[in-house]
Amino acid sequence: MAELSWLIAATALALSGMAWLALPMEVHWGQVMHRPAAQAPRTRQLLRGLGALALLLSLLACLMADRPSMAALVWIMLMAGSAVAVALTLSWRPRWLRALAIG
Amino acid sequence: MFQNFRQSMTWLHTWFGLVIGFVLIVVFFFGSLSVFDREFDRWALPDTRFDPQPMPSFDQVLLPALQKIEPDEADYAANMPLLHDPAKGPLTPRIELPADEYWAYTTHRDPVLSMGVGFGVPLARDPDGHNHIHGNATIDPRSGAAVRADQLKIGSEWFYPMHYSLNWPWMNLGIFIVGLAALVMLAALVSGVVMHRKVFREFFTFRPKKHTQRSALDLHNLTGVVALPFHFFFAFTGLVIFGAFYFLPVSQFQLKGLHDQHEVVEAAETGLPHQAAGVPAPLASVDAMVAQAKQRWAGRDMAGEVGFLMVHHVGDANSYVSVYRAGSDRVALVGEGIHFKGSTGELLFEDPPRSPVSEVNEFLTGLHLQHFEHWLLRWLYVLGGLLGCMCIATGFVFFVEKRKRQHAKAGVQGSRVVDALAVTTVTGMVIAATGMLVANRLLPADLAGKGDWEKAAFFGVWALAMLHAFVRSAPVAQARLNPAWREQCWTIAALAVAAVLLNGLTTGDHLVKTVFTDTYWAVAGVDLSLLVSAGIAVAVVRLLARREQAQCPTPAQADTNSSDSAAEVAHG
Amino acid sequence: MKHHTLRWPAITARVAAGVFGSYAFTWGFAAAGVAALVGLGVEYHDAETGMLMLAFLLFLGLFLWSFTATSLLRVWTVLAGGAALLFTAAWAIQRAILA
Repeated sequence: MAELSWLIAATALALSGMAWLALPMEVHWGQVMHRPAAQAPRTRQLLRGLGALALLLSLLACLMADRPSMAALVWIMLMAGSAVAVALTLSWRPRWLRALAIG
Repeated sequence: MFQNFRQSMTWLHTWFGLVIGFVLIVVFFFGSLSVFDREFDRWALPDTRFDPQPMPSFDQVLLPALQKIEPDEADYAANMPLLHDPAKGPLTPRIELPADEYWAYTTHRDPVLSMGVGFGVPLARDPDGHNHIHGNATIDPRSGAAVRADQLKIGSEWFYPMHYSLNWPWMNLGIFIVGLAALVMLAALVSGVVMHRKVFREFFTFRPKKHTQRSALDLHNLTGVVALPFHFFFAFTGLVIFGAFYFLPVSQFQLKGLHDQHEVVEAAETGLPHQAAGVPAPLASVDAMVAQAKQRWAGRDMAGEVGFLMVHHVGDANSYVSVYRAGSDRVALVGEGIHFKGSTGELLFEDPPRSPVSEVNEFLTGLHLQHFEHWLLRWLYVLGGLLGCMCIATGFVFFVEKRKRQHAKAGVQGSRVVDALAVTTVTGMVIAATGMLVANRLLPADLAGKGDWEKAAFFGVWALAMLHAFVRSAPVAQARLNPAWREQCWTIAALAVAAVLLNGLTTGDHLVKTVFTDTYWAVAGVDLSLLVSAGIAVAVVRLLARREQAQCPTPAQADTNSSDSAAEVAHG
Repeated sequence: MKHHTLRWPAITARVAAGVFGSYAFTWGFAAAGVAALVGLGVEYHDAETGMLMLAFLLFLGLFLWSFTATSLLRVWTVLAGGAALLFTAAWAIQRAILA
């Protein structure tokens, strides 16, 4: 049960991490916020930092769930899956990511 | 040959990607299915739908079953003439071949157990060589009863070998082609990154509403880059797994001298006899040896089940029994082998901890072969494999879209042929797989040679899909969409739903039962995956239908339109 | 993108070099490498395992290089010549060890 909780946390962190890395990018900021990216340099910087932090925490969560050799594989694959999920969300439902544009 | 580095990489990626792509997509797709190969086995063989079992008693269950196994007729016919030395005497009859080694194998996902015998060749050409005629069986470990030999395990005996050998065993050509494809894939990944200037800027970019050429390229880049570590490592580890035996067998040819010397030295160091003594001796209780092995593993803080067991030099004084631990809780495969003297059960040798090189190799091969018990990681592997399929499929689509207008103007058939081949290997392949599952449910359970009929259904259906793809491809020569894509997606949806319904009807294990009332995830998983696939196929049908409708009118229609309006103008 | 050198003979020659030439060199590299390591006291299977992992990466590098190099003659010289040297080295080392 504990393993499952850590893996759910790892997944959630990977998804938000990827979203927080995608949002600050010029094209995607425009898609989600409908505002020019140049207007919000500090927020974008903050989101990039959050994204990196979330991905790192995701790795730690994976390490809590499994032995290191397996955790590394799970993390790498979670990142791939999360990147795809974020890309598809940006293509079809960019509004869903608006909530993540905090700060 | 090329003006610069980028141009050469582009040419390489385009043409090798195209040609080898047809092989690679088969490898990727069936690789993805192989993650759940045993679950497909359960679906195809309803008699085996019970819970995974640990390895049973050797003395009570495995030995009697092994003693019933006979040398395989096809193996005998093909290999006996190669191994037997006629100068030493007449060919030993198949039934009289002596058993030389026994093996048994199971994993945490196996209800039924695989086992086999290596029969010796008494008057061999090369007495030092591994002269074996094989006989295999699958048994129910609870009773020792054999599963019928002509019932095909669609997952582990068809989808999985399709993945690494294209099910083409002749001269192992299939394995070599897949090996070449793996190398080309590595080259395609490197050249792809070289070509793709905006790797970071377009990391999350997918523009489905743009014209097909752009959205196909977006998806190709996305699926290729996002899972780049996965794609690279799977191709590389695939080569490493078969490296010593098939792709770079230096030990069997150039360095045979050094290799054989090492075998002798190793036998002396480990005390495990390389040759039989020629003196008969009974086999002591293997169960006692297994118990001792489990104790020793627990003592090393790695308690576990037996994954693989082997008896060498059966019935001989030099016989020894090797017991290996199942690696369900780690990436590396079976390991921690412990070896016992066959006639007495005395401990002969315990495998030492692996060297660093060996650890790296075990990690790499284990990462690919995934015997571990980790359901999330398995499903993530399926995702990775399907992303690879999408990368290759969108590569085909991009190739055709980029060239079909020029080809239409020049009256060249190239795009049409590539498009038809793409339909064959993308949707046609999925139709073949689902068609095989449908055939499995439609054919009577007691049909003799049922496995052969299912294989025929697989190839027959694929051939029909290919025919359909080509026959319907004429519009591509006019720079339009091939309707076969949409029609085959419909077929996939229909076959997938049919398979689920037929499973419920013919076995009674419908989804309500396998998910809720008498949960059995192996079968429920396959059924649910089939339904999800059907859903995706229908979504793709609708997408394609919209694109087909949005296409420019055909030249014939355009002529009619313009002549009508000219007539209107003339008369109006 | 097509220029006069992209004809079938040129393509075939380049692909042959890329596939077969690189393979021969890689085989030689693996054989010579294993023999050399064994000669230095490394256990046979460790030597084989380590060399094969490196060999596949080398194969990739040579394959890519054979398409980017400007002179096909240079490609064949390096690959075939190198293979020949490595084969000889492997044979010589093995002979020395077994003697």
